[in-house]
Amino acid sequence: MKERKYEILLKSLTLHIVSFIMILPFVWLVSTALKSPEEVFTQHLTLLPKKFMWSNFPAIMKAAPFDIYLLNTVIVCAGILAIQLILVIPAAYAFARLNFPGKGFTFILFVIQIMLPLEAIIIPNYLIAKALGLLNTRIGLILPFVASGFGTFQLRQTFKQIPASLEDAARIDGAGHFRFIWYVLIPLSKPTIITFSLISIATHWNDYFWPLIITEVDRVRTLTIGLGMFLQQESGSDWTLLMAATLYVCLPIIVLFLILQRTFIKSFLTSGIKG
Amino acid sequence: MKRLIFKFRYYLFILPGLIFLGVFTYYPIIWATDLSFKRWNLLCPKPKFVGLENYIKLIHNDVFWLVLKNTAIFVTVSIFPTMFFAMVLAILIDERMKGRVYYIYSIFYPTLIPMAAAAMLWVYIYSPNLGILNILLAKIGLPKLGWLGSSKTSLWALIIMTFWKNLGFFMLIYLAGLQNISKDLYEAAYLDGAGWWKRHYKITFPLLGPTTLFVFITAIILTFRVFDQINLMTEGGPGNSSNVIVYYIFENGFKFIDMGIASALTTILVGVLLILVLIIFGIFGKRITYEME
Amino acid sequence: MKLFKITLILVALIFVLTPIAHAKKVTLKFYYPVGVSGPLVKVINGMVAKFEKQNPDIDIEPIYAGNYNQTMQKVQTAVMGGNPPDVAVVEISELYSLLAMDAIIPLDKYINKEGGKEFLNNFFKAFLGNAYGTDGKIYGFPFQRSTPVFYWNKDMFKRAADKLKAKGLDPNRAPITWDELVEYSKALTIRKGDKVKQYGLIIPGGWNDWIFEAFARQNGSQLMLADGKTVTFDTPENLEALKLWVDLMRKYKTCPVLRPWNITPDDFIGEVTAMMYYSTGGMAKIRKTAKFNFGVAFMPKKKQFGTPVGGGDFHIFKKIPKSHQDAAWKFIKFMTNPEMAGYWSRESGYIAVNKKSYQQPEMIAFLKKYPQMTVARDQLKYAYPKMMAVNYQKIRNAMTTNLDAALEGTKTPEQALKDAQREMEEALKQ
Repeated sequence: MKERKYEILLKSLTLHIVSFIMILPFVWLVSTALKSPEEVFTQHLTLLPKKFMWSNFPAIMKAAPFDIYLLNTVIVCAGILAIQLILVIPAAYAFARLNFPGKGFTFILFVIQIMLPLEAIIIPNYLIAKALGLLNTRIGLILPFVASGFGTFQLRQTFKQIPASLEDAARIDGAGHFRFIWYVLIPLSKPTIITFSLISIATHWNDYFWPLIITEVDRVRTLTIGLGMFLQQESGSDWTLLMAATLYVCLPIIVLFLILQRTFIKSFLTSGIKG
Repeated sequence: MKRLIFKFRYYLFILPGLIFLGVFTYYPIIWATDLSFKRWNLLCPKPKFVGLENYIKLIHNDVFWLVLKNTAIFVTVSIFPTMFFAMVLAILIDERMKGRVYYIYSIFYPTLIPMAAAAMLWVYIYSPNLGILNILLAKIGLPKLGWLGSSKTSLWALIIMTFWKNLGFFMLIYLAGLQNISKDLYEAAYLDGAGWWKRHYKITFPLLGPTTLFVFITAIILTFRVFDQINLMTEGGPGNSSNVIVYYIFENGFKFIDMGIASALTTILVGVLLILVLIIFGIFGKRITYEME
Repeated sequence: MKLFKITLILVALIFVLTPIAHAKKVTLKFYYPVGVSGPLVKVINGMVAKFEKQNPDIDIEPIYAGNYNQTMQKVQTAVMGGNPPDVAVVEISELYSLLAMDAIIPLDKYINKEGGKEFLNNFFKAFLGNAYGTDGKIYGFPFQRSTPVFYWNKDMFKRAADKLKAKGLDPNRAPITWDELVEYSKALTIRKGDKVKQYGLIIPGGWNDWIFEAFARQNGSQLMLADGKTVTFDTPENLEALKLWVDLMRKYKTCPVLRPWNITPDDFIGEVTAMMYYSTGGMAKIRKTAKFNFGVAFMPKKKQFGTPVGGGDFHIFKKIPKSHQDAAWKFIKFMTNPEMAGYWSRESGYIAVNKKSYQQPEMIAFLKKYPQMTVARDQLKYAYPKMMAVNYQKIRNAMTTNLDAALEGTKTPEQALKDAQREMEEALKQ
């Protein structure tokens, strides 16, 4: 298929403009994070700070225990993902390859959960967390998210596509359910598992509502909550520090994805997310 | 007995997940429904059965209707443009291999940024005097806008910001969907003399049907549950102009400490979401059950 | 097996890191309304450290909960969660809500031990008005206290001297009456074509109910009677005040509509506006960042000068051990002693609640250097308690929503006051 010259030009021009517009806020963020407060108040648009204020970063670390927030966020994300995988993989296996009474109904229960995000039922969930003594604990930040209807659905679709001949072969070799899952299904579904894991990490790194409701002390707070506390106060906002803190909260996850860039895009495009 | 246990032995695989679903999804719904018939607030600290009082109060409250309207606007206006642009961009990137990773990342990165962080950034972008948006508007001779500070623009400012945040995610899903479409189809259409638009209109759009359904469902969930940016950027104001359902629940529950009203709102929201599930299953049920078998 | 091992380690990690070490000393959870980034956090942390040094058996865990609304939400949920704070600073209008939740203890016992009336006389009377419950007992103790004041940019006034003089206005002082306010704001607004280059005045949004209460007082009215039950939002005097606002914003266009609260100091520092109404709490920042001479004045009067007080009071909570309550009182006493209250005032711009602070040499030297800081204190002569009511969050919501609607022109001032009055009454009845 031969593309005409103007078609090529038009396409790359469109993409470049869109990319530029999408990136601009981030450039603005980085630039403000490195400016001095005085420079922010001049209403001239400068993207390069006149003087690079690297000291903004030590300043935010002093203002709040961001190291603890970071550690908490990592623990919560890792905890959610670990338990999710432990719960989701066997469930997806059962729904994909086993037969038992009530299978259709229970599967629907998992699927409907996709449509009922925690945000919608925040009130009773808060009351439950309170009743179970989960307020102000990291485990409380983890548990409500560990049953993933989305993950179960995705993995089930992938597990279904693995040919039955492989299962028969494994059975003949005497492999039980878990050996079959471990040695056959998981290696063959790697792209889906990677995609699901990365989406899970990105989603829960970003959680704000739930931690806002159930945490109040620094030792269990996560990055997003620490950041949220920066914004509003009686004396007005300090934009340079606010942007420095914002950048600090964004960077780990962006760096993670940049490192895993090839794996992520490849896994995502091969596994996709199937409806 | 033994036979019964044998019959249900596979439940071991799904039981842990089911327990968590029960505790954090289904039981809460029942509890909220129960509380929605009770008065439980600052002045009435012990829940007391009052029948439909909470619902009647809501029906007579203008703010409730405004919140519903805002939610409807937010959901529809953010879903459809986002889906359309995500699809077009995915097609363009799919056809241009050169610089592909750069395009993907520059459009996708907002998805990775926490909504709380994006909210901070956009509060600054929308700041009436120091924000880049108004500086640029002034540069090209347009009037500065109030953005978050005006009830005419606050909801739209949030929609624009959410568009920026979600576009990349949907684009990536579309891009994945496009991998399953054989390139030979385009070749054939090209030889038949079909132009760019016609090729995609006839081939891509129909074949992306399943992907579009998935994107649609995801988009509904993402937009119905918006909270973070509203809490951080506008607190629902000015004058409730950017108040949407989940924020309204939060406001009633944790700010006004009226758990009865908040539970009634929760029940209404869950009802709407379940009806949406039914509609989606009804229209696309065949497809989904087909996939499930 | 690698994946399995990693998973195992992760799970182990969570459980290891979850338990929280408990100290044997008394540890007080201290809820405090400030964003963590603010320079004030460092000030509070410094004061807390000093207290801990003097009282090695008490640990204070400050919990910075964000702005006043967020702090109150946190306190409410903590109380409902059966895990109340030990001591908290909460916005003063919330007192009746705290009482309705049966969350706090009266402080009379402690105050009597310190010398009762005599002890209380050390503190500005205007700040104690919001401390009493309907039963006559004292439930709050003033700490982070402010009033709105009137800021003006002296350099801008000089630059507009000719224009001001032509109108018969003195460029070396701030407006004293509402009428003057209108004239000054007109003279100080600079337009280029249709666009405003410089505003004469900003009356910010967000906490405009508080500023509005000041206008009501200046016109001899108020928003709610001291009983916390009788709403007087819809009065002719208040209507006059609201109409003045609407005129400034919509007719003369010398004041932007609903400028966000936290951005308004930026506008003043960035010379976007010549005058603004704002809390004394913004003073430290302006003093440190503004590159021009600025003045602080009483808010202009109509019938009289008048202002509500504002800010936050200390409260000690119920359902905590007696040892915690005693320690909390020790902490409150420390934070409001002449030395600490003065230090707090100098660093933050809030008014020192202890009168003796103003006799300290550091304070006298400081006020000589920054005479602006005395204005708020002197304005206390004209200060009234801020309105208080149970269910205050909802009532405040009714006020701001309707004020916003009037200022944006979606409701007439008459309608806005009527609606607010009705909604406030409904919230009280609930």
